[in-house]
Parts: sequence; structure tokens; C-alpha cells
Amino acid sequence: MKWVLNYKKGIKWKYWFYNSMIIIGGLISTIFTAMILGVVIDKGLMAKNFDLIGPLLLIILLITIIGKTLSYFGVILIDSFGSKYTGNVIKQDCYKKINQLDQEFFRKNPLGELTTMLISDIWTIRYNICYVVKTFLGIVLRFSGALCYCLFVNWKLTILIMIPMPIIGLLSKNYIRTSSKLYERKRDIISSFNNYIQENIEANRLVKNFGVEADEIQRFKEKNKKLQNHNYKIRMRFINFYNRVNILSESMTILLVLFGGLFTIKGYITIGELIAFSSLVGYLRDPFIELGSLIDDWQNFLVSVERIQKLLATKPTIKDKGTITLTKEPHSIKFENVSVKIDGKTILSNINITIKPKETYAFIGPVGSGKTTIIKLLLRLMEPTSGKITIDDIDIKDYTKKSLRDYFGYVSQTAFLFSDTIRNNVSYADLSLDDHRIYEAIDIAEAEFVYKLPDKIETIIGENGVSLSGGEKQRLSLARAIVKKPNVLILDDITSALDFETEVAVSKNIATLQYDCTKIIIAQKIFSVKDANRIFVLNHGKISEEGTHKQLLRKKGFYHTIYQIQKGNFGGEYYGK
Amino acid sequence: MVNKYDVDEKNTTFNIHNLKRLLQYTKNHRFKLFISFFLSAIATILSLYTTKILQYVLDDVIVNKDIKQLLLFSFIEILLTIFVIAFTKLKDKLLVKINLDIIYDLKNDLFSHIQYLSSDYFDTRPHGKILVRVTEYTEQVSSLITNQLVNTIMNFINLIFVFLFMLTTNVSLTMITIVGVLILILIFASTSKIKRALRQDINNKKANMNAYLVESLKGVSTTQVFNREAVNEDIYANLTTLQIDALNKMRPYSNLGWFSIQNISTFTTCAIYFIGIKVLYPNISVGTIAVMGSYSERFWSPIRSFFNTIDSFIETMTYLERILETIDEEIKIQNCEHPKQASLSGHITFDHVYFSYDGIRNVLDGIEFEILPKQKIAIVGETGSGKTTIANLLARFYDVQAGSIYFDQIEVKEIDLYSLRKQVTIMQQDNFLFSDTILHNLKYGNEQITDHQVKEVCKKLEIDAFIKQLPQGYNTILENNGKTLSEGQRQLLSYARVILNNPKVLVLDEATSKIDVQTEKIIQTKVKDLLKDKTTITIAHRLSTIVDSDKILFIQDHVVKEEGTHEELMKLKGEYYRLYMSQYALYDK
Repeated sequence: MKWVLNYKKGIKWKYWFYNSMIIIGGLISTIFTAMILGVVIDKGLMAKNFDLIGPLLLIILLITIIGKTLSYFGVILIDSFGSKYTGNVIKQDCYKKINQLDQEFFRKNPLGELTTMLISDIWTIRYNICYVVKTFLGIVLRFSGALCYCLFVNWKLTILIMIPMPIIGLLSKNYIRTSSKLYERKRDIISSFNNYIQENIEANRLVKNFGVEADEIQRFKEKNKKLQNHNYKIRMRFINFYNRVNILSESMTILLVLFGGLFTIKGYITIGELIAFSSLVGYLRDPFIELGSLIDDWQNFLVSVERIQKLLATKPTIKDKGTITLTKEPHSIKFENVSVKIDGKTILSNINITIKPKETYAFIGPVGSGKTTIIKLLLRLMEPTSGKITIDDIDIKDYTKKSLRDYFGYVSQTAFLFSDTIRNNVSYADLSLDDHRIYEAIDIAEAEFVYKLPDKIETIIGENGVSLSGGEKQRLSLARAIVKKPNVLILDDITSALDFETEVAVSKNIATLQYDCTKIIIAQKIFSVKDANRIFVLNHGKISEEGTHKQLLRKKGFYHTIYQIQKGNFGGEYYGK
Repeated sequence: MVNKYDVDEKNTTFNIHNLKRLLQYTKNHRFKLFISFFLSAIATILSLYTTKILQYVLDDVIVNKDIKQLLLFSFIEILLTIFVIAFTKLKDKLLVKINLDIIYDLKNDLFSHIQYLSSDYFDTRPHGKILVRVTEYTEQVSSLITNQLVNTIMNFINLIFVFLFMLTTNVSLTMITIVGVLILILIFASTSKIKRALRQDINNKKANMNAYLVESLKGVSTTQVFNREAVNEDIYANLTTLQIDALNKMRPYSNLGWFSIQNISTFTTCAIYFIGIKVLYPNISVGTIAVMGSYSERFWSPIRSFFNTIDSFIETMTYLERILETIDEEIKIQNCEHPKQASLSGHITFDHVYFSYDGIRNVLDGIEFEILPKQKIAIVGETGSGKTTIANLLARFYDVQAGSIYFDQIEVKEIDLYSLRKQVTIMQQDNFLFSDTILHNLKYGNEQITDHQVKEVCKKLEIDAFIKQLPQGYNTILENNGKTLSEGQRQLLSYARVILNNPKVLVLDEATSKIDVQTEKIIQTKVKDLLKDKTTITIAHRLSTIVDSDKILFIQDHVVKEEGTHEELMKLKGEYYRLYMSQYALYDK
């Protein structure tokens, strides 16, 4: 709790101020009014001193309205504060943090876990700081007030009545200790349950395709049962605990009747005092019952805070410590002895490449040879295990991540589009771009199909562009990168879903871009790479050959083999016709 | 109409019938629920008596200094308390069970229905909005029937008793309390419509916010590459603020309840004292006034609880309505009345098929073709010409607007969907993999396949070697939906998956587009054997992939423009020829 309230400086005071509004408001409108009412009854009514009553009742009314109004605003302010603080500060920081993290983190924290953190955990924290704390404070105050009064009236009786209290304290401590693991487990089950549902919704076509609806339903039932069983376990344990607390609390009333009665009969206290005791015993006893249910909330709170703390303390593996801004001018890029090893596997080994500005470079190679890895290194989505990558002889780590990524325009192998308008998708890098730029990019990407749509660039495409064909998605993804007018355009197998004619048109457009641009092309087809200034052939993470198209053909190595296969696929008899 | 993350979903209308539907979920628990009510009622009555006894002890026993009676009544108190606590414990346990069972059933029903909903449901709204209904809304509704209902009964009993006590003590002063209750009812009645509207708004804003969260987290890589972190954070912050604003609008109303009640209760209690003394006295004793005052205070606690329940009811109904909205969503693609369980031979006919996704653009314009069993067909055409659509229609993900599709002379609409989909499999372009082991992914829908069969297919697809050198081999869990693998590797796994499903008709939609040509060639030869008894339809742009097909369907202008073998089409010297030659010319050195 301390951590939550101290997370942002200065909010503590606001928080306690609002709480005190509620508490004071509550106090004066309950305890004070109760006391005055007591006077009304004793000194006014019973003593037949009627003139006293009118004004006193008026005072009660006034105090009540003032007190309740104070509480009313206090509650509204604290709930508002809670929402704002947990939503706009803590949750927002969590979201920011996630945006900075990398592959490593996402491997260990699937989407279901992340949504559980930002939806469920945040809610739990909010609920606790808004509701639980003020309830707890209210309880503590009423209890203290009542305790003071009772001690004042007769401390011996008070102590007798309070005998169960330490036992309740021990029980609670014990419960919290032994059940904490259960709450942690509950949170984990919920997280993986949510992840499963999220994947299922995403894979809805696959589910239909394989006709596994019934299987998925069965699997869901099992996971659902698991969650409910665990919830049941927790609730049963809680009820047992709560029940014991109840018994001990109620026994306080019995102790009051017994000992209070005895004391009165023996004359140690007056009947009036006993009546006062009995009206206040509720304030002594009820706190423990209410505290019981707060403990359940508290357990959830502890688990949630721990997760959020952990998230916010996670340090990105790929640090953004660079201070130099990479200017939007032609620069040369070098890979110097770059190697990448993951989990003991070598992905890239001793890569040495020089990329001169304004030229076109290409990478070709079989599946899993490391082509996309090279790109990820360049974009700093990954870091080399050894070696370094430099731009203008400065290590890319020394540039700011932002300026580095601004420098490149990246079209990935599988386009990820957002369920937004086409305009917002294409202008993803810069929403302020005017339509002219967007149309220009669409034309270069040969994505004129957009103009045939009823809403044109305002058309909303479904989740991940499901309403578009593969080729249409790919072209929009290309437009998205081109619209930035980047200094380096990285095209990772962008024509795999395009028909031949479109592919030719796109390639031509890219080759004849109106501004100076370095191009890095990854492709499977000789056709796509043959015009590059330099082609690198990747094989099992190593550059096995490099050179121009003609040079590589002459080498009669791997490149030549691919060429022959691709050409040979066209059948000999039509050669030359 | 496609819903976006920042567009509110259309509001539902209130219908008390929905509550009846929720009550249906208690069908199996009626007896337990009744017992809970019963136990609760008894516990409440008994605890009322404990109060009465306490009073008696205070008033009489102690005054009479009767220790024996004191001990006796203490003992009775102990007994009563034990019963109250025991009954309450039992009731709580019963209610928990019922509560959790209702959530269990509700979640099952919702999820099951979602499995059968047609593709267009998922295509037209952010998935996050579907997700929250299953994960969050279901948790909120069950307490309505259990805790809330039981509390209402408890409160009602308390209320009746206190009210009766008051009436039998003094009617005029009781009227004052009634006036107070009437004022309260007025306040609640006048604000309930607003509260409902505000609550719906809160729900919508929350759904928007969470939908954006889910989607933007899915695309974190893209966000990072395009330096979009700041913009996304702003969007998310805005959506959060909208939700907070909606909550803030609600707060004055939601707190009005206790505020009114506590003020009214003090007011009526004071009024009772005042009127009792100034007006009714001396026709009424001082003691009576004191008792009425004390009853009046006790009257309002159950009232407060009761009105809390009403507020909770309003809130819960809004969640329930969303859940039922999804459960009631029409399943557009369904079996006809007497679906046929056909064993397909792989003979397919498209007869003048017209199809459009949005009702405006025709993606297929009267297309027709015939495919014979075991033929190896290729579909070629420019992007967006409808090739994937043909695949989607074959597996009946959508129904055509006009024309028919036949499998072995049976219309696809008449074939049992389950049987159809087991025999017609499409390898889709997105290669979705679950965060599960490689083995489970490949055995998807076919748990009975042996590990050996899986490995054999993987060997043929040249992916076995790669899998074997992973830390846990085939039991490696594909974290983050397999994003740590290369695109080509994921495509190969997806390819293996469809082959292992062993359908009669296999549609390969760009199945090897991300795989290099050399590997592709090797695979094609090895896989020929596995596919020889199937009708395969290959959709590809690489003409080299399809030259050996039994028939090539060249699609243009949303119809089949040319069809035939590669040789026949080349002889035609039409569009296909032109396309082929221009692709080839690039290799001519």
C-alpha cells in the first residue's frame, strides 16, 4: 500500500485529505449525533426537560447534513482520485513500460497476462485504495471512539468484553499467511484462462476450418472448471475463517450481557452506563466482522500490487541510452563481425556487410537462414551477441531509439494492420500527414483498390485487416512505410502475396522513387534481387556468397542453383518464344 | 457496419425478460437456493430475537437484580447466536456453490455460442470487445441472484418485523417514517433511468478502452518500429480518460443513495422525537417516544441495503444484456433441417456463383468451374480477384448471394457443416499458431494422430531437422504464438497441420509463399505422395509452382477467364500466356 501511494510524489496528501473529509464527516454525523441524541433522550426526554429538545434536534439535523455532505464530497473526490490515479498514472505507466520492452519479455508474458495486469490488477488496486481503505479507516475510527468511551465508563468491563479480540487478530494473521499462495495461484489461473480465450477468438477461422468447435468447448469447460474449483476452495476457506471471526465477535455481545449484567447487579456500573455500553458494543464488535471480509480484498490487492510492481521494475533488455540523433540524411551502415546466438543456437555468424547510401542491397536465402534477423538487428528489435552495427561509424546503440527507427521504413513479411481506417493505417507513422501524401504512397504501392471501396481511405478494416486479401494487406503495409519517405526502405519479402503484374509494377515504382533512398530487399525470387547493387546470399546464418547478379551467376554456387531452379521451373520448350 | 475501438457499441434496451433468463441458470439449484433463503430467513429472525432478549435483559432482568435469570438468558443468547452463525455459515457455503456454478454455466454458454458464430461477427468488431464479455461481464452477473436476492429477503424480513413493532407501538409516529420512505422512493425512481444510461456509457467506454489495449498490445512490434509509442499512449490515455469521465458523471448519482437515506433517516428520527413531544405528548408516554426513536434508527439499515440492491440490479442488468446480446447473436452459417453426412469424393462445381462481403463490391461475379476428384488445380489471378474467397466459400465460411456450390452434386448448404469441414481444409495465409507445444499445434483437431505420423510429415516438409534442434524438440512450447520462429518456419508448421488433418479437399492459399524456391521444390516432390488421393487447389502467384497442375483456372474480372493445363493455356496465347511469358522473360539472360 505504501508503494502504491508513494508511486507518484505528492498525491499522498490529496489522498489523505479526501479520506479525512469522509472520516470527519462520518464521525461527526454518527458519533456526535449519537452523543447528542443520548443527551436528548436522557436529559431531555426522560427528564421531561422538553425545551432542550427542539434546539438539540436542530443541531443534530445540522450536523448530520454538514457531516454527510462532507462525506458525500469526500467519497466522490476519493473515488475520482482513485480512478484517475490508477488509470491515468499507474496503468498508463504500465502501458508505456510494455511499449518499451522486447521479445524476451513478450515470450514470458503472453497477451492474456498483460491484459490481466492492466485490466484486472489495476481494478483491484483501485478498488482497494478507494473502497477498502476508507472502510478500514471508518472501522478503526468508530472502534477507537467507542473503545475510548467504554474504557472511560468502565475499563474493567471493557477489557472483559475485548477478550476475543487478540484471538481474532491471531486468526487473521494466520489466515493471511496460509492463504496467500491460493490467491497467487488464482491470479495465475485467471491469466492463463484469459489468454486461452483471447487466442481462441483470434483463431476463430482456424477453429471453424478444422471443425474443432466441440473440442474447444470441451477444453474451455475444463479450464473453466479449474478456475471455479479454485475459486470455490478459496471461498470455502474464507467462509470458515470468517465464521470463526463471527463466533468470536458475537461472543463479545454475550460477554457484555453476562458480565455487564453482573457488574450492574453488583452495582459496579449504573444501568445508564450499561445501556450506553450496549449501544456502543456494536461499534466494538462489528469492525471485526467487517475486517474479515476486507481481508479477502486485501489478499487480492497484495497479489495485484506485486505484479504491477514487477512490471514497472522490468528493465528493457535493449536499452535506449543513446543520445545522438540520427539525422535524416544518407548514411552508410556497417555490420562488423555480427553474431547472434539464442538459447545456444547460432542464428547469425560473423556477418560483415557495408551498406552504402542510395544503393540497393538484397538478401536471399532459404527458410530460417537469418534474413529477418539482420533486419531486426538494424531496427534494434534485437541485439547482437557479439560484434556491432554502425551507422556512419557510430554504434547504433549510441543513437536514440526514436531517431534510429525514424530513419528506416520497414515493411515486414506479414503485415500487421489495425482495426482502424485505411487512412489511419497508412499514416500510422504520422497521423498529421495530409491526404496528398497518403494517396501518393498508395499509388506507389499499387494499392489503387482503395479508391474502389465505398468509403475509400475512410474504410474501416476489421481486426488485422481481415476484410482485405493478403495482397491488399501487403500493399497497404508497403504504403505505410513509403509514406514516411524514409532514408532506408526495408522490404522484407513484400511481394509474396502479389500477382506477377502487380509485383512488377511495385518493383518498378520502388526502383524509381523520387527521392534518395537506400533500399534493403529480402526476397525469395531472383527476379526481385537481380537489379540490386549487391546481393548477399545467406545460408545457415552465414553469408555464403555476395556480389552482383552477374557475378553470382558466374560463381556457379548456391545463387546460381536457385536461379536455375527458378528458371527451370518454366519448362524448356518455351525458352525464347 | 464495422465497429472500431473508439466507437461505442449500440446500447441495449431494458427488458425484464432478461432477468427471467438469468434465473434459468438457477434451474439445477432451485432446492439449494430455497434452502439458502430459508436459512437466511431463520437466521434473521433468530438474530432479531437476540436483540429482543438483550433488551429484555437490560430492561427487566438487570433491574430486578436476578442473577439466575441473567445466567439463563445469557445461555439462551449463546444458543441463539450459535444457531444464527451456523445457519449463516451453511447459507454462505450453499450460495458460493450456486454462485460459482452460475458463472460456470454462463461462461460455457457464451463461449460455446461464440465458437459457432460466423466469421463476419469476428470481422466486424474489435476482438477485445468480445473478450471482455466472456472474461469480465460474466463475473459480474451471478451475484445478482445469489447474494443480492438473499440479502433482499433478509432485509425484507428485518424490515417487516421492525415495521410491525413500530405500528403496534404507535401509528402516527410510524407515518412519519412512511413519509420518509416515500421521499426516498421518489428520489430513486427519478434517478434510475439516468443511472442506467450512465452505467451503459461507462460499460461502453470501458469496452473501448480495453479493446484498444488488446489490439495495440498485439501489434507492439509494429508500434516500436514506427515509433508510435507516444501516439498509442495518447490514444490509450484518452480512452482511459473518457472512461474515467463517464465514471465521474455517475458518482453523484450512485452516492446519492446513501446520502439521501442517511439524511432522511436522521430527519425522520428527529421528527419522531419532535412531533412526539411537541404534538402528541402527553397522549403518549415518554418511553414510547424513546422506543419509536430507536426503532426508527433500526428501520433504515435494511432500507439502505435494499436500495443498494436496486442499484446493483441496474448495473448488473447492463452486463447481462451484453452477454445475452452475444448469446442471441444469430449464427448465420448453420446446418439446414436435414443435413447430409456426405463422404466427399472431391468433385466440386461452382455454378454461376455471385458473392460479395459487404453487399456492394462483387468479389465473384457469376463464376463457374468444375473440378474432378483427385485433380491438382491451380487458381491464378491478380490480387483481390477472389481467389481466397473461393477458398472461404468451399469451406462454407460464408454463404453465396446467388448461384450454388456443389460437392458431388450435393449443394454445400445441405452438407453437415462438421462433416464438410473435416473433409475440406484450407491452409490460410495468416499461419496462426497457438501458445502450445509444436506437437499439439500440429495435432490440432486430430488428437488421435501418432507422434510418428507428425514427424513423418515434418520430414517431408523439411522442418523436422529444425524442430529437433529446439530445446524441447517437438514438445517446445511456441511462446508468443510462435513469433520467435521465422515466417517461413511458421508457414511450414501451418502446412504440416493441414496435411495432418487429412482432408479430401485441400486448399493451399499461398502455402509456400514465404518459403525459398529451393526448399519449395524439395517439398513439392516429397509431398506429392501425401496429396495424391486428394483434390488439391493451389492458389499461388508463382507460376513456377503451378505448371504441373491438372488444370489452371485463370481468374480475371471476378470470373474464370481461361482454364486448362499449362500447355493448353500457353497455346491459347491469351492472358495466361502473356503473364507467363513476362515472368519468364525476366529469367532469360
